[in-house]
Amino acid sequence: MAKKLLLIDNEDLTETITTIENLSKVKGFEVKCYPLYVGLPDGNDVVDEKTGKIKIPLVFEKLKRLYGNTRFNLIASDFNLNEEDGIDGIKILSSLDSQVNVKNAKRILYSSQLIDIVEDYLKIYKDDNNFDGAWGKFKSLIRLNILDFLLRDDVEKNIVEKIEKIIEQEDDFILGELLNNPDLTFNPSIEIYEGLTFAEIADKILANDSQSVKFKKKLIQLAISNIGYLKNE
Amino acid sequence: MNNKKIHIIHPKDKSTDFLNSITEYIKNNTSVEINLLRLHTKEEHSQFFELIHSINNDELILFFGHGTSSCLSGAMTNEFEAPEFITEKQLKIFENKNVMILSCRSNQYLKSYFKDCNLNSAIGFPNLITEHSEIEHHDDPERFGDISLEDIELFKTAIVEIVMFSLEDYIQNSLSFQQFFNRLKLRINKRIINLYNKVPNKGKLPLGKMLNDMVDGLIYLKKI
Repeated sequence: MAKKLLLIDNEDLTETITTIENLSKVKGFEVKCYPLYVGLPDGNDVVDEKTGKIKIPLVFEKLKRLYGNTRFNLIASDFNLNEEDGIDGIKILSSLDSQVNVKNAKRILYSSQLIDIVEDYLKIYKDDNNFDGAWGKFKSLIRLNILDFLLRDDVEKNIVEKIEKIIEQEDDFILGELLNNPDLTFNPSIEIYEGLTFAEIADKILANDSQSVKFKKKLIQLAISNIGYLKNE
Repeated sequence: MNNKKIHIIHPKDKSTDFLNSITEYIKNNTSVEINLLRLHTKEEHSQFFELIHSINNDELILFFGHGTSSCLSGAMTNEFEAPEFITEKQLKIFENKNVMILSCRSNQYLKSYFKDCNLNSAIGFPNLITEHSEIEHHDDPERFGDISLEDIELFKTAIVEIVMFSLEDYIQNSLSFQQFFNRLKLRINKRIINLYNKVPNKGKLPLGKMLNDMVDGLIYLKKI
Protein backbone atom coordinates (compact mmCIF):
# COMPACT_ATOMS: atom_id res chain seq x y z
CA MET A 1 0.00 0.00 0.00
CA ALA A 2 1.36 3.41 -0.97
CA LYS A 3 2.34 5.73 1.85
CA LYS A 4 0.41 8.98 1.75
CA LEU A 5 2.32 12.22 2.06
CA LEU A 6 0.60 15.57 2.48
CA LEU A 7 2.83 18.38 1.26
CA ILE A 8 1.97 21.91 2.36
CA ASP A 9 3.58 24.80 0.55
CA ASN A 10 2.75 28.09 -1.07
CA GLU A 11 4.76 27.41 -4.21
CA ASP A 12 4.63 24.82 -6.97
CA LEU A 13 5.59 21.32 -5.78
CA THR A 14 5.62 19.46 -9.10
CA GLU A 15 9.35 18.91 -9.12
CA THR A 16 9.43 17.96 -5.44
CA ILE A 17 6.66 15.41 -5.93
CA THR A 18 8.36 13.82 -8.93
CA THR A 19 11.64 13.56 -7.04
CA ILE A 20 10.02 12.01 -3.94
CA GLU A 21 8.06 9.51 -5.99
CA ASN A 22 11.11 8.49 -8.02
CA LEU A 23 13.40 8.21 -5.00
CA SER A 24 10.90 6.02 -3.17
CA LYS A 25 10.47 3.74 -6.19
CA VAL A 26 14.22 3.17 -6.24
CA LYS A 27 14.02 2.16 -2.57
CA GLY A 28 11.24 -0.30 -3.35
CA PHE A 29 8.15 1.37 -1.94
CA GLU A 30 5.50 3.72 -3.20
CA VAL A 31 4.73 7.21 -1.94
CA LYS A 32 1.67 9.08 -3.10
CA CYS A 33 1.99 12.82 -2.69
CA TYR A 34 -0.95 15.11 -2.00
CA PRO A 35 -0.06 18.78 -2.46
CA LEU A 36 -1.94 21.37 -0.43
CA TYR A 37 -1.12 24.90 -1.53
CA VAL A 38 -1.48 27.40 1.28
CA GLY A 39 -0.59 31.08 0.91
CA LEU A 40 0.39 33.21 -2.04
CA PRO A 41 1.13 32.73 -4.86
CA ASP A 42 -0.22 29.20 -5.46
CA GLY A 43 -2.53 28.88 -2.50
CA ASN A 44 -4.47 32.11 -2.82
CA ASP A 45 -7.81 30.30 -2.43
CA VAL A 46 -7.21 30.01 1.33
CA VAL A 47 -6.28 33.66 1.69
CA ASP A 48 -8.91 36.08 2.96
CA GLU A 49 -9.63 38.61 0.22
CA LYS A 50 -10.04 41.53 2.60
CA THR A 51 -7.12 40.99 4.97
CA GLY A 52 -4.80 39.15 2.62
CA LYS A 53 -4.12 36.66 5.43
CA ILE A 54 -4.35 32.88 5.38
CA LYS A 55 -7.56 31.66 7.01
CA ILE A 56 -7.28 28.31 8.78
CA PRO A 57 -10.97 27.35 8.23
CA LEU A 58 -10.40 27.82 4.51
CA VAL A 59 -7.36 25.51 4.72
CA PHE A 60 -9.50 22.86 6.41
CA GLU A 61 -12.21 23.24 3.76
CA LYS A 62 -9.67 22.90 0.99
CA LEU A 63 -8.10 19.83 2.56
CA LYS A 64 -11.50 18.20 2.92
CA ARG A 65 -12.57 19.21 -0.60
CA LEU A 66 -9.42 17.85 -2.24
CA TYR A 67 -8.70 14.74 -0.22
CA GLY A 68 -11.79 13.89 1.83
CA ASN A 69 -11.00 11.50 4.68
CA THR A 70 -7.66 10.32 3.31
CA ARG A 71 -5.41 9.34 6.19
CA PHE A 72 -1.87 10.55 5.75
CA ASN A 73 1.25 8.82 6.98
CA LEU A 74 3.36 11.95 6.91
CA ILE A 75 2.83 15.70 6.56
CA ALA A 76 5.64 17.94 5.39
CA SER A 77 5.09 21.66 5.54
CA ASP A 78 7.11 24.61 4.42
CA PHE A 79 7.83 26.88 7.37
CA ASN A 80 7.45 30.12 5.49
CA LEU A 81 4.13 30.46 3.73
CA ASN A 82 4.84 33.98 2.54
CA GLU A 83 2.98 35.74 5.28
CA GLU A 84 4.65 38.27 7.54
CA ASP A 85 3.69 37.82 11.21
CA GLY A 86 0.85 35.54 10.27
CA ILE A 87 0.37 31.85 9.62
CA ASP A 88 3.53 29.80 9.28
CA GLY A 89 4.25 26.06 9.10
CA ILE A 90 4.11 25.71 12.89
CA LYS A 91 0.64 27.20 13.08
CA ILE A 92 -0.59 25.12 10.15
CA LEU A 93 0.70 21.87 11.61
CA SER A 94 -0.58 22.56 15.11
CA SER A 95 -4.00 23.58 13.82
CA LEU A 96 -4.26 20.34 11.86
CA ASP A 97 -4.46 18.51 15.21
CA SER A 98 -8.18 19.16 15.08
CA GLN A 99 -8.56 17.23 11.82
CA VAL A 100 -9.13 13.52 12.45
CA ASN A 101 -7.51 12.22 9.28
CA VAL A 102 -4.24 14.09 9.77
CA LYS A 103 -3.84 14.56 13.50
CA ASN A 104 -1.86 11.37 14.01
CA ALA A 105 0.37 11.66 10.97
CA LYS A 106 4.09 12.16 11.55
CA ARG A 107 5.26 15.71 10.72
CA ILE A 108 8.18 17.46 9.14
CA LEU A 109 8.94 21.13 8.70
CA TYR A 110 11.27 22.42 6.04
CA SER A 111 12.56 25.80 4.98
CA SER A 112 15.06 27.35 2.64
CA GLN A 113 15.64 29.91 5.38
CA LEU A 114 16.29 27.50 8.25
CA ILE A 115 19.44 29.30 9.36
CA ASP A 116 17.67 32.68 9.29
CA ILE A 117 14.82 31.27 11.35
CA VAL A 118 17.13 29.94 14.04
CA GLU A 119 19.08 33.20 14.05
CA ASP A 120 15.85 35.18 14.41
CA TYR A 121 14.87 33.07 17.38
CA LEU A 122 18.23 33.59 19.01
CA LYS A 123 18.13 37.29 18.23
CA ILE A 124 15.08 37.69 20.42
CA TYR A 125 17.25 36.68 23.36
CA LYS A 126 20.53 38.26 22.27
CA ASP A 127 19.25 41.66 21.24
CA ASP A 128 16.22 42.04 23.48
CA ASN A 129 17.46 39.90 26.36
CA ASN A 130 14.06 38.21 26.15
CA PHE A 131 14.72 34.62 27.16
CA ASP A 132 11.06 33.68 27.55
CA GLY A 133 10.27 35.03 24.09
CA ALA A 134 13.11 33.09 22.45
CA TRP A 135 12.49 29.94 24.44
CA GLY A 136 8.78 30.19 23.62
CA LYS A 137 9.63 30.01 19.93
CA PHE A 138 11.75 26.89 20.41
CA LYS A 139 9.11 25.38 22.66
CA SER A 140 6.46 25.81 20.00
CA LEU A 141 8.64 23.63 17.76
CA ILE A 142 9.14 21.03 20.48
CA ARG A 143 5.40 20.89 21.18
CA LEU A 144 4.74 20.16 17.52
CA ASN A 145 6.53 16.86 17.99
CA ILE A 146 8.00 17.01 14.50
CA LEU A 147 10.33 14.34 13.20
CA ASP A 148 12.70 16.91 11.78
CA PHE A 149 13.18 20.49 10.64
CA LEU A 150 14.92 20.23 7.29
CA LEU A 151 16.73 22.49 4.91
CA ARG A 152 14.71 22.90 1.73
CA ASP A 153 17.58 21.61 -0.42
CA ASP A 154 17.54 18.16 1.20
CA VAL A 155 13.85 17.80 1.76
CA GLU A 156 12.99 15.16 -0.88
CA LYS A 157 15.76 12.76 0.13
CA ASN A 158 15.01 13.23 3.82
CA ILE A 159 11.29 12.75 3.41
CA VAL A 160 11.86 9.44 1.62
CA GLU A 161 14.17 8.31 4.42
CA LYS A 162 11.58 9.23 7.03
CA ILE A 163 8.87 7.31 5.19
CA GLU A 164 11.15 4.32 4.95
CA LYS A 165 11.44 4.36 8.75
CA ILE A 166 7.68 4.68 9.13
CA ILE A 167 7.21 1.64 6.88
CA GLU A 168 9.56 -0.35 9.08
CA GLN A 169 7.28 0.16 12.04
CA GLU A 170 5.08 -2.83 12.63
CA ASP A 171 2.15 -0.60 13.53
CA ASP A 172 2.01 0.80 10.08
CA PHE A 173 1.41 -2.61 8.49
CA ILE A 174 -1.41 -3.38 10.89
CA LEU A 175 -2.88 0.09 10.52
CA GLY A 176 -2.69 -0.14 6.75
CA GLU A 177 -4.57 -3.42 6.71
CA LEU A 178 -7.19 -2.16 9.16
CA LEU A 179 -7.75 0.99 7.17
CA ASN A 180 -8.10 -0.96 3.94
CA ASN A 181 -11.40 -2.27 5.30
CA PRO A 182 -12.45 0.39 7.79
CA ASP A 183 -16.08 -0.71 8.04
CA LEU A 184 -15.45 -4.28 9.21
CA THR A 185 -15.42 -5.64 12.77
CA PHE A 186 -13.59 -8.64 14.24
CA ASN A 187 -15.40 -11.70 15.50
CA PRO A 188 -15.07 -12.30 19.27
CA SER A 189 -11.92 -14.44 18.89
CA ILE A 190 -10.14 -11.26 19.80
CA GLU A 191 -12.01 -9.89 22.76
CA ILE A 192 -10.13 -6.61 22.91
CA TYR A 193 -11.97 -3.72 21.19
CA GLU A 194 -15.00 -5.94 20.72
CA GLY A 195 -17.58 -4.37 18.45
CA LEU A 196 -15.33 -1.56 17.20
CA THR A 197 -14.81 -1.13 13.48
CA PHE A 198 -11.35 -1.55 11.98
CA ALA A 199 -11.18 2.24 11.57
CA GLU A 200 -12.05 2.77 15.24
CA ILE A 201 -9.41 0.23 16.26
CA ALA A 202 -6.89 2.04 14.05
CA ASP A 203 -7.70 5.22 15.94
CA LYS A 204 -7.07 3.43 19.25
CA ILE A 205 -3.69 2.23 18.01
CA LEU A 206 -2.78 5.67 16.73
CA ALA A 207 -3.74 7.18 20.08
CA ASN A 208 -1.50 4.63 21.87
CA ASP A 209 -4.48 3.32 23.81
CA SER A 210 -3.41 1.20 26.81
CA GLN A 211 -4.93 -1.94 25.23
CA SER A 212 -3.41 -1.39 21.81
CA VAL A 213 -0.19 -3.33 22.38
CA LYS A 214 -2.12 -6.29 23.78
CA PHE A 215 -4.49 -6.08 20.83
CA LYS A 216 -1.69 -6.16 18.25
CA LYS A 217 0.03 -9.03 19.99
CA LYS A 218 -3.18 -11.01 20.15
CA LEU A 219 -4.01 -10.25 16.54
CA ILE A 220 -0.68 -11.64 15.38
CA GLN A 221 -0.93 -14.67 17.66
CA LEU A 222 -4.41 -15.52 16.37
CA ALA A 223 -3.38 -14.99 12.76
CA ILE A 224 -0.40 -17.31 13.15
CA SER A 225 -2.44 -19.97 14.93
CA ASN A 226 -5.08 -19.73 12.22
CA ILE A 227 -2.69 -20.18 9.33
CA GLY A 228 -0.19 -22.51 10.95
CA TYR A 229 -0.82 -26.18 10.21
CA LEU A 230 -1.35 -28.10 13.41
CA LYS A 231 -1.73 -31.83 13.55
CA ASN A 232 -5.06 -32.93 15.04
CA GLU A 233 -6.69 -29.50 14.72
CA MET B 1 12.38 -37.07 19.51
CA ASN B 2 12.30 -36.13 23.19
CA ASN B 3 12.66 -39.57 24.71
CA LYS B 4 13.32 -38.62 28.31
CA LYS B 5 10.96 -40.05 30.86
CA ILE B 6 7.91 -37.95 31.73
CA HIS B 7 6.58 -38.00 35.29
CA ILE B 8 2.89 -37.36 35.75
CA ILE B 9 1.71 -36.58 39.27
CA HIS B 10 -2.03 -37.02 39.30
CA PRO B 11 -3.59 -37.38 42.74
CA LYS B 12 -6.75 -39.47 42.92
CA ASP B 13 -9.80 -37.26 42.55
CA LYS B 14 -12.91 -38.08 40.54
CA SER B 15 -13.26 -34.48 39.45
CA THR B 16 -9.90 -34.56 37.67
CA ASP B 17 -10.22 -38.08 36.23
CA PHE B 18 -10.96 -36.55 32.82
CA LEU B 19 -7.26 -35.69 32.64
CA ASN B 20 -6.47 -39.42 32.46
CA SER B 21 -7.09 -39.13 28.74
CA ILE B 22 -3.89 -37.10 28.39
CA THR B 23 -1.80 -39.84 29.98
CA GLU B 24 -3.51 -42.58 27.98
CA TYR B 25 -3.03 -40.70 24.72
CA ILE B 26 0.69 -40.19 25.31
CA LYS B 27 1.12 -43.82 26.31
CA ASN B 28 -0.67 -45.01 23.18
CA ASN B 29 0.78 -42.58 20.66
CA THR B 30 4.38 -42.12 21.67
CA SER B 31 7.16 -44.39 22.83
CA VAL B 32 8.25 -42.18 25.69
CA GLU B 33 8.36 -43.74 29.12
CA ILE B 34 5.65 -42.44 31.45
CA ASN B 35 5.93 -42.61 35.20
CA LEU B 36 2.38 -42.10 36.44
CA LEU B 37 1.94 -41.33 40.12
CA ARG B 38 -1.71 -41.55 41.05
CA LEU B 39 -1.30 -40.62 44.67
CA HIS B 40 -4.06 -41.95 46.87
CA THR B 41 -3.11 -42.90 50.41
CA LYS B 42 -1.51 -40.76 53.07
CA GLU B 43 1.63 -42.87 52.78
CA GLU B 44 1.85 -42.32 49.04
CA HIS B 45 1.61 -38.57 49.58
CA SER B 46 4.33 -38.67 52.21
CA GLN B 47 6.58 -40.90 50.13
CA PHE B 48 6.19 -38.55 47.20
CA PHE B 49 8.28 -35.89 48.98
CA GLU B 50 11.17 -38.39 49.05
CA LEU B 51 10.54 -39.88 45.65
CA ILE B 52 10.62 -36.52 43.88
CA HIS B 53 14.34 -36.23 44.62
CA SER B 54 15.07 -39.30 42.51
CA ILE B 55 13.69 -37.61 39.38
CA ASN B 56 16.41 -36.32 37.10
CA ASN B 57 16.40 -32.58 36.54
CA ASP B 58 16.20 -32.93 32.77
CA GLU B 59 13.03 -35.01 32.91
CA LEU B 60 9.68 -33.34 32.52
CA ILE B 61 7.23 -33.28 35.43
CA LEU B 62 3.51 -32.73 34.92
CA PHE B 63 1.13 -32.11 37.79
CA PHE B 64 -2.58 -32.71 37.14
CA GLY B 65 -4.99 -31.75 39.87
CA HIS B 66 -6.71 -29.01 41.79
CA GLY B 67 -4.93 -26.05 43.21
CA THR B 68 -5.12 -22.47 44.42
CA SER B 69 -2.83 -19.48 44.29
CA SER B 70 -0.90 -20.85 47.26
CA CYS B 71 -1.07 -24.63 47.08
CA LEU B 72 -1.60 -27.81 45.08
CA SER B 73 -4.18 -30.31 46.25
CA GLY B 74 -3.61 -34.00 46.69
CA ALA B 75 -6.09 -36.84 46.58
CA MET B 76 -9.72 -36.17 47.35
CA THR B 77 -11.44 -39.49 47.95
CA ASN B 78 -13.64 -41.05 50.61
CA GLU B 79 -10.56 -42.69 52.08
CA PHE B 80 -8.18 -39.76 52.17
CA GLU B 81 -8.29 -36.05 51.51
CA ALA B 82 -5.31 -33.75 51.05
CA PRO B 83 -6.69 -30.37 49.99
CA GLU B 84 -3.34 -28.76 50.79
CA PHE B 85 -0.76 -31.24 49.58
CA ILE B 86 2.05 -28.96 48.40
CA THR B 87 1.78 -25.57 50.04
CA GLU B 88 3.56 -22.29 49.42
CA LYS B 89 7.34 -22.81 49.71
CA GLN B 90 6.99 -26.59 49.55
CA LEU B 91 7.08 -25.88 45.85
CA LYS B 92 10.80 -26.20 46.50
CA ILE B 93 10.45 -29.95 45.96
CA PHE B 94 10.61 -29.01 42.26
CA GLU B 95 13.92 -27.19 42.70
CA ASN B 96 15.96 -27.15 39.46
CA LYS B 97 13.22 -29.06 37.67
CA ASN B 98 10.95 -28.34 34.72
CA VAL B 99 7.31 -28.56 35.70
CA MET B 100 3.96 -27.97 34.11
CA ILE B 101 1.30 -27.50 36.75
CA LEU B 102 -2.11 -28.09 35.24
CA SER B 103 -4.23 -26.77 38.08
CA CYS B 104 -6.31 -23.71 38.84
CA ARG B 105 -4.32 -20.53 39.53
CA SER B 106 -0.97 -22.31 39.32
CA ASN B 107 0.12 -19.21 37.40
CA GLN B 108 -0.30 -17.16 40.59
CA TYR B 109 1.27 -19.84 42.77
CA LEU B 110 4.29 -19.99 40.49
CA LYS B 111 4.58 -16.22 40.26
CA SER B 112 4.73 -16.04 44.07
CA TYR B 113 7.15 -18.87 44.75
CA PHE B 114 9.01 -19.79 41.54
CA LYS B 115 12.06 -17.68 42.31
CA ASP B 116 12.33 -18.51 46.01
CA CYS B 117 11.89 -22.21 45.30
CA ASN B 118 14.50 -22.12 42.56
CA LEU B 119 12.63 -24.03 39.87
CA ASN B 120 14.39 -24.30 36.53
CA SER B 121 11.30 -23.57 34.42
CA ALA B 122 7.57 -23.87 34.82
CA ILE B 123 4.25 -23.51 33.05
CA GLY B 124 1.23 -22.36 35.02
CA PHE B 125 -2.46 -22.04 34.28
CA PRO B 126 -5.09 -19.52 35.35
CA ASN B 127 -8.45 -20.38 36.91
CA LEU B 128 -9.99 -23.17 34.85
CA ILE B 129 -13.71 -23.77 35.13
CA THR B 130 -14.09 -27.54 35.11
CA GLU B 131 -17.08 -27.64 37.46
CA HIS B 132 -20.08 -25.33 37.61
CA SER B 133 -19.37 -24.46 41.25
CA GLU B 134 -16.02 -22.97 40.21
CA ILE B 135 -17.68 -20.04 38.46
CA GLU B 136 -18.11 -18.28 41.79
CA HIS B 137 -14.33 -18.52 42.41
CA HIS B 138 -13.64 -16.77 39.14
CA ASP B 139 -12.25 -13.23 39.36
CA ASP B 140 -15.19 -12.04 37.29
CA PRO B 141 -18.13 -14.43 37.92
CA GLU B 142 -20.49 -12.23 35.91
CA ARG B 143 -18.45 -12.95 32.80
CA PHE B 144 -19.66 -16.54 32.99
CA GLY B 145 -23.27 -15.99 33.97
CA ASP B 146 -24.42 -17.70 30.77
CA ILE B 147 -22.26 -20.80 31.10
CA SER B 148 -23.89 -24.25 30.81
CA LEU B 149 -22.78 -27.71 31.86
CA GLU B 150 -22.31 -28.51 28.19
CA ASP B 151 -19.93 -25.55 27.84
CA ILE B 152 -17.91 -26.86 30.77
CA GLU B 153 -17.72 -30.34 29.26
CA LEU B 154 -16.56 -28.83 25.96
CA PHE B 155 -13.94 -26.83 27.83
CA LYS B 156 -12.67 -29.92 29.64
CA THR B 157 -12.38 -31.74 26.32
CA ALA B 158 -10.51 -28.75 24.91
CA ILE B 159 -8.07 -28.71 27.85
CA VAL B 160 -7.37 -32.40 27.42
CA GLU B 161 -6.87 -32.21 23.66
CA ILE B 162 -4.78 -29.04 23.76
CA VAL B 163 -2.44 -30.51 26.38
CA MET B 164 -2.18 -34.00 24.90
CA PHE B 165 -1.58 -32.83 21.34
CA SER B 166 0.96 -30.24 22.48
CA LEU B 167 2.67 -32.85 24.59
CA GLU B 168 2.77 -35.16 21.59
CA ASP B 169 4.39 -32.32 19.58
CA TYR B 170 6.87 -31.79 22.41
CA ILE B 171 7.85 -35.45 22.32
CA GLN B 172 7.74 -36.19 18.59
CA ASN B 173 9.24 -32.89 17.39
CA SER B 174 11.87 -32.55 20.15
CA LEU B 175 10.51 -29.21 21.27
CA SER B 176 12.09 -27.33 24.16
CA PHE B 177 9.98 -26.74 27.23
CA GLN B 178 9.43 -23.13 26.18
CA GLN B 179 8.37 -24.29 22.71
CA PHE B 180 5.94 -26.66 24.42
CA PHE B 181 4.47 -23.60 26.17
CA ASN B 182 4.28 -21.76 22.83
CA ARG B 183 2.53 -24.75 21.31
CA LEU B 184 -0.05 -24.79 24.08
CA LYS B 185 -0.83 -21.13 23.37
CA LEU B 186 -0.97 -21.71 19.65
CA ARG B 187 -3.38 -24.60 20.06
CA ILE B 188 -5.63 -22.63 22.40
CA ASN B 189 -5.72 -19.77 19.89
CA LYS B 190 -6.49 -22.21 17.10
CA ARG B 191 -9.43 -23.54 19.12
CA ILE B 192 -10.72 -20.00 19.66
CA ILE B 193 -10.54 -19.21 15.94
CA ASN B 194 -12.14 -22.53 14.95
CA LEU B 195 -14.92 -22.04 17.49
CA TYR B 196 -15.93 -18.63 16.17
CA ASN B 197 -15.59 -19.74 12.56
CA LYS B 198 -17.94 -22.64 13.26
CA VAL B 199 -20.46 -20.52 15.17
CA PRO B 200 -20.33 -17.09 13.55
CA ASN B 201 -22.41 -14.03 14.40
CA LYS B 202 -23.49 -15.25 17.82
CA GLY B 203 -21.33 -12.85 19.82
CA LYS B 204 -19.04 -13.99 22.58
CA LEU B 205 -19.49 -17.64 23.53
CA PRO B 206 -18.82 -19.09 27.01
CA LEU B 207 -16.34 -21.59 25.61
CA GLY B 208 -14.59 -18.79 23.72
CA LYS B 209 -14.36 -16.74 26.88
CA MET B 210 -12.92 -19.67 28.86
CA LEU B 211 -10.35 -20.37 26.15
CA ASN B 212 -9.45 -16.69 25.95
CA ASP B 213 -8.93 -16.53 29.72
CA MET B 214 -6.85 -19.69 29.52
CA VAL B 215 -4.51 -18.34 26.85
CA ASP B 216 -4.24 -14.94 28.55
CA GLY B 217 -3.43 -16.50 31.91
CA LEU B 218 -1.02 -19.16 30.76
CA ILE B 219 2.52 -18.36 31.94
CA TYR B 220 6.02 -19.63 31.35
CA LEU B 221 8.73 -18.88 33.88
CA LYS B 222 12.41 -19.67 33.55
CA LYS B 223 15.29 -19.30 35.94
CA ILE B 224 17.54 -16.45 34.85
